[in-house]
Amino acid sequence: MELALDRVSRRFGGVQALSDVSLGAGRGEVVCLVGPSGCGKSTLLRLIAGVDRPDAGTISLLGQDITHVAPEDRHVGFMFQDYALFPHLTARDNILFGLKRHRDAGAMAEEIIRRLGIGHLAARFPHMLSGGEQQRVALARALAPRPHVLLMDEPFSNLDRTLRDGIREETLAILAALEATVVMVTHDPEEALSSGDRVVLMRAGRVVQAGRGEDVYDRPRTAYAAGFFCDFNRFDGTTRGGAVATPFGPVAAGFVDGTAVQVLLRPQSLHPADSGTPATVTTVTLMGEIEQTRLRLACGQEMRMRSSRRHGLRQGDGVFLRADPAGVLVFPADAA
Amino acid sequence: MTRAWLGGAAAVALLVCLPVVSLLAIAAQGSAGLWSHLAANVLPAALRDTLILLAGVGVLVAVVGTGTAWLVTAHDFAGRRLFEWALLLPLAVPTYISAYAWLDILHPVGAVQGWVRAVLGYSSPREFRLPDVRSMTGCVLLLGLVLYPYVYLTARAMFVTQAAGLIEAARTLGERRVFRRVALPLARPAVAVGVSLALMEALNDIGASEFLGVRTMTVSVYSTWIGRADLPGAAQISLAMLALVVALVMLERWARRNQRYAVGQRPRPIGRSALRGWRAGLAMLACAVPVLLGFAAPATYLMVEAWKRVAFAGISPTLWTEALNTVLLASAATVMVLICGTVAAYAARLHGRGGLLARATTLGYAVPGTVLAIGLLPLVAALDRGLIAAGLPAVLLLGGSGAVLLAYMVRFMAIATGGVESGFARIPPSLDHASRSLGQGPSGTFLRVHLPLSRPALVALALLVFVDCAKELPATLLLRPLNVETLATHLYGEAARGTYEEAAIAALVIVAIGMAPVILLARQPRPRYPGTP
Repeated sequence: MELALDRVSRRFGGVQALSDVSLGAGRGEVVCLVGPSGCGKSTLLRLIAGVDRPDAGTISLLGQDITHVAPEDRHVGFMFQDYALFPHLTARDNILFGLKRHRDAGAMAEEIIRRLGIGHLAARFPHMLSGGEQQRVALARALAPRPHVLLMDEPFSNLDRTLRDGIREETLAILAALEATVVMVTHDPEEALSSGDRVVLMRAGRVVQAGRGEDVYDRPRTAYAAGFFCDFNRFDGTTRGGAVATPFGPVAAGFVDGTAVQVLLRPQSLHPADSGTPATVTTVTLMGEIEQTRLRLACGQEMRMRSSRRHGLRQGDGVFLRADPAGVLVFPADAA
Repeated sequence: MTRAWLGGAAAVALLVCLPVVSLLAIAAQGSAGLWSHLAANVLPAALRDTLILLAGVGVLVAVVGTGTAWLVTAHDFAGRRLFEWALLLPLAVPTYISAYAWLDILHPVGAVQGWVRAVLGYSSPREFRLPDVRSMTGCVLLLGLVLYPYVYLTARAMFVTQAAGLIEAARTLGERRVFRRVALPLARPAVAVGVSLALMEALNDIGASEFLGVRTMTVSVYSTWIGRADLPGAAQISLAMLALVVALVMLERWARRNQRYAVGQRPRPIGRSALRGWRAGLAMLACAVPVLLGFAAPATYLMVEAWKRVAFAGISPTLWTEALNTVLLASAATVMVLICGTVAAYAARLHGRGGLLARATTLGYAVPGTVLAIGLLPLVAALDRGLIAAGLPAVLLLGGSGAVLLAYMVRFMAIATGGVESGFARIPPSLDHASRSLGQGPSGTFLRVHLPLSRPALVALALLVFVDCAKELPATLLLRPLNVETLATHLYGEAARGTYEEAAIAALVIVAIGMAPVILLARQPRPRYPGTP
């Protein structure tokens, strides 16, 4: 493991920001910390960078314990949400800032400037750069000293929506080409799933689930993890005979009979059919690539159906619905 | 490395707190006999006069400061833009200079009284004279007229930054008396802060009250030490003054307690209502009188007198030496104060404990110069004795000007610490973290990030500290070596002797120096760093 955190805890006054968090990142791996604001993901990043210290636990880098090493001696790169470019220095001098210890600082700076294709920006001051250009310079500055691990705090959240996807793809390509080990923080589930080799979902200072994107998305271990990555339709029920009854028929559930459970159904697993569960369309909303249809079942429950196809439904239309069994998950009702 | 910064901040905090501690020590060893004399004959009268003076000045500055601030922010009338900055001008006139000038302007055989008698048809001062300016009333008026800008500044800032939305809301709700119902309650904390600052200045004043014959506690401390050489007695009166200071500081803190809830609103100008006819005239008059009496009259008088003197006798070499002394002392103090204040402010940024130390370095701002001097005297004497015992010349402190420097540092450290801290506050913490993660330690980060980014703030602060040092009178008077005069002490000496020789020139120079921060304030610069969002 390039970077390893072992049972790290941090408390701020009465708030337990992190409790017993263990985490690892292998060489060249992109680890995405994701969770709602206040879940402790940014605190974790600050602990790895050394600008804050844990109350308990150890942090090691390349097998060396760095828990109490000053940030300037860690060889950890940090890219900030606001980019934190020094306003009194040009882009080139910003990049040179971390290279003072190197004899061939100039060559190293030129190298990273070339790799990122920002030669035309090098002489400009930060206020003369657009958001995307600032992001690029900040990335170059963090990568220039060749850190053992690069930390990125919401690196794309300050960018326009239209720019974001393109810049994210480019950035990830550069990081992959450099074989950089990256720990990235985001609050955006889609960004986490698309950017990380490994996704670490956090909640209230604890790791809820960690794994490859498809694992945490397809096989969430808790209803919380499921709900974080997908807007499920939900039914409450009780198991009987190894199954729970839903408007779409019984769903197998491996719980003791009489357990209160929640059945989660992905909106994209619902589709209109010639027969099935009857429902009435309440609204149809075009969200760009996909179309979301809200429907009301005979029992009165609201459902959401999402599809990349245009169903041509209108408010008040009656339809039959079918559910794809692959999009159905069952969890205990009280599980958080 | 963080520890070194904290250590530096602790040393600065210690330096600032020493005079107060030493004051307590001397007061505690005072002889009983002298104290009972002081307690019976000096203190009650001095305390009464001081309290009357503070009450009078407090009311005057509150009314004039708030009133003019409201006039220029919420109304429009001819000359409003001019008054907006001109109302700050009296800040450039130290209290002792205003008193010096007005005493001569209103002299019974002077031009003004002569003109009044001529108009009224009297021929000699024996038949008619204006009420004597050398009185409590005169002193209150004089101090009020130069100190009201403290309230004007704080109240105007409040009206400009906070009031617009609320006043518009009140108007849409049909309220006509927005000043009484909205603006005044809103400005009350700001007014209290301004008043407490003005009163700290009033308490610090030694020249005006002495020239005008008001025996305040400051004057008593001075005469108890200079006249009777009674240090414990002076220390005991000083302690009583310190109690007043604590009360004023508490007033200020209390008034500031809710300020943090008010920040963050974007300043928006109030929709000004245009005044016409006699209302506009009245507004102009209300703004013009404080400027004329607080600044224009004394400044004009000084220019005329200085011109006469220069035309008559030129400028003496003594005055040049005094000007040089003033500049040298103030410059040396400014450098020291900025270095110490910056160390304290950066320690506060590095570490939570540094914040406490930084607060401690600001304790001196409220301590009157005389009180500070009385606290420093025994310390400095002990240091000098130590130097002599070690076989070194004692020129460092009392023999030289070390004691004066020390007093300036203690008294004006708050300007530097507070100013640098607010300069640093504009630098996002992510810049510190970026620098650290790029391999710079705390000191490297300071040199390469904080220092270059706060240079504009540091220049402005240097100016403020320099001007305050150059104007300082009470501590300089008590602590300067026998052969060293500054412009301020020269003026005091002449005024105390009742001779009017070169003092007008010295006073004019001090007022000219004092204009610098007024210009700075009037421009209201918001130092913006390129690129910070």
